[in-house]
Amino acid sequence: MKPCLLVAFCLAGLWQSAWAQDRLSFRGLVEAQAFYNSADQSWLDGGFSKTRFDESTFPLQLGKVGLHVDYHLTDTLWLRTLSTYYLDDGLDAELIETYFVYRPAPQGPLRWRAKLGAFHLPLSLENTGVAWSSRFGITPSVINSWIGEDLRTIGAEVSLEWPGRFRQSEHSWKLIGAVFGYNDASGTVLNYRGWAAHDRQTGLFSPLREPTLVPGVKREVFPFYENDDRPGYYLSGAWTWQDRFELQLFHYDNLAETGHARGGQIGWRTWFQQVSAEWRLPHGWLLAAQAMRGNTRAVAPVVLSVCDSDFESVYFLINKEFDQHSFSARVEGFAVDDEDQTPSNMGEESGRSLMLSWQYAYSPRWRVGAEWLLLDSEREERRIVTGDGDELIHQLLFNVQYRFQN
Amino acid sequence: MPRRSRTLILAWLGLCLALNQPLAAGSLTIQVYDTNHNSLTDAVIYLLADRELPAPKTDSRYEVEQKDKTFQPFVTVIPVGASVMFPNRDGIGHHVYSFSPPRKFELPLSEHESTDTITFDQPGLVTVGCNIHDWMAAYIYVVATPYHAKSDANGQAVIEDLPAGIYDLHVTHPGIKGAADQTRRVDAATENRLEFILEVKPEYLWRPEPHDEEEPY
Repeated sequence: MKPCLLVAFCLAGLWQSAWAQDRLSFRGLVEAQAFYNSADQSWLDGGFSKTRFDESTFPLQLGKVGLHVDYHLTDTLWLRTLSTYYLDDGLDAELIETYFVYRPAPQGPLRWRAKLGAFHLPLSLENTGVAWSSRFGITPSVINSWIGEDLRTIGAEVSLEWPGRFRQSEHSWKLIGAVFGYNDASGTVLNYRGWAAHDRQTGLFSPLREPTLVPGVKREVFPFYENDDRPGYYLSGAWTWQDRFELQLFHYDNLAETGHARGGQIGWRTWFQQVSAEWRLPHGWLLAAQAMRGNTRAVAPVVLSVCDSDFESVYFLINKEFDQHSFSARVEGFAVDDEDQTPSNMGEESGRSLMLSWQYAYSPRWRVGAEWLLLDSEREERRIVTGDGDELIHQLLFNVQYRFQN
Repeated sequence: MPRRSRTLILAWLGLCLALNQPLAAGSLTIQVYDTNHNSLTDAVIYLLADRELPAPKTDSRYEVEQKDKTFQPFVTVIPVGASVMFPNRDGIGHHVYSFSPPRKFELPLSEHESTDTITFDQPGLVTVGCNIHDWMAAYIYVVATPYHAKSDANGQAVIEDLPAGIYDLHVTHPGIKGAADQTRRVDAATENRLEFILEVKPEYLWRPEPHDEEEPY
């Protein structure tokens, strides 16, 4: 991929001087996965199944390779990139993030930081690890799968924190605001494919696959696309109590202009709200939940047909850490309500899943784990195309992960 | 000069000489507990007085190192005018800072780097953090007296070679409830062991848990 090569070339140019000055650091992971999966046809291959793999996938895969490279321009200004490599799509490396971080040392009890570039939105409770990996298992919830595949801040974000520790208070506060572009097709995939549960992130210049309705006609959408030169925004407020309980409210709106096309794609106005909470209990117990609801809407130019879908999902997760072991269980529900006036309601879907996971940190570098995912869903479009709208997927995944850093 | 007057003058001179010498010095042991009667480590004890105290020695070597993404020691007590080194003994960079009024500073430190020292000229509490690893915290108490100590794992602190006299003894701690130190007037000539009970806030407020890794998100 050309933009990746360009970035790689620039980085290579900086490498030699930066290395000598101790300004370049990297870290990442390589993960192999072995699995059993009962799905008909993965969404990655144009099918309706919600998982990354299906029954025809060879059951041993290079799950992912992720590499963060940080270049410290100054002590407070860094350039960060995240690239990933997945075998599913052939031999493409994907550029996931590339941005500047400005972290001035606090001059008082308020701390502010800024990011400029392309980076993940700050609203996942699961995917906080190296290369945006989940800290609880392998397959994140459908909410966090969607955040990784279809949303990216391509713009500027400012955060303002008032940590309780600085003033010996039980309460910490954090506000985040961002203005971004290139998200005018985010949400399309929720209408045309629905929710999915997988650990892939979409490259900044890569498309997302949608179900094939006419054999031989591949459908895809480039989510990071600017249609109307009108920026979107998000706002987030978080409250932390006793460093144990955290509550975050998040509002996102891409403010895309509907009824407008550019470069073969149309704009999808997508907005959502999310409430998330995490509660760290004594003896290594942790509870986490995210609940999201929103809407995505498009109007086709000229013919003025309307696509309009409400989407919602919620999950609850419990985690217990015991020595180097981490056990997690997660239940979730999700739905897309097709609100447009067409009689078929193709986008209508609902589903639920259960995930049980065990991860073992054998050493700082090596981790192994297993995960069982049971995902049940009904989708109207699948019923119309295949005659059977329901699918119950069993997936048993084993992973071996190697982490590295300089 | 009459004989009696000469005796009086000699006695007066003798008394002056005696007063000019430090009175017999002893040690003062302070035992600190929290309200659950558990030994409280890292409590800071220092003695002030209405009279002028000897100038503290500022040539001692103080160090607050960064190791395994924590500051060690967690609490340091130093006299006014002393200097502290902040060596980085980790294989990663740190960015040490303080915005506390007695001494604001910033020290970006590459891996395995030692730097020049920071001198602390004003008394007060200096909270130290790391701008890269937000959970890292250390406390430096700068005191205007040569008589100071820090409680050990058994909650015990000993001030050695304390000349007899009346002092205002201060006890404080990074997690102390309420803004003020606990104080007590003590007579070093008659008291050599004291007990204090401090009410401290929950530990997470002043000693954040170290994280295994720097989470990128």
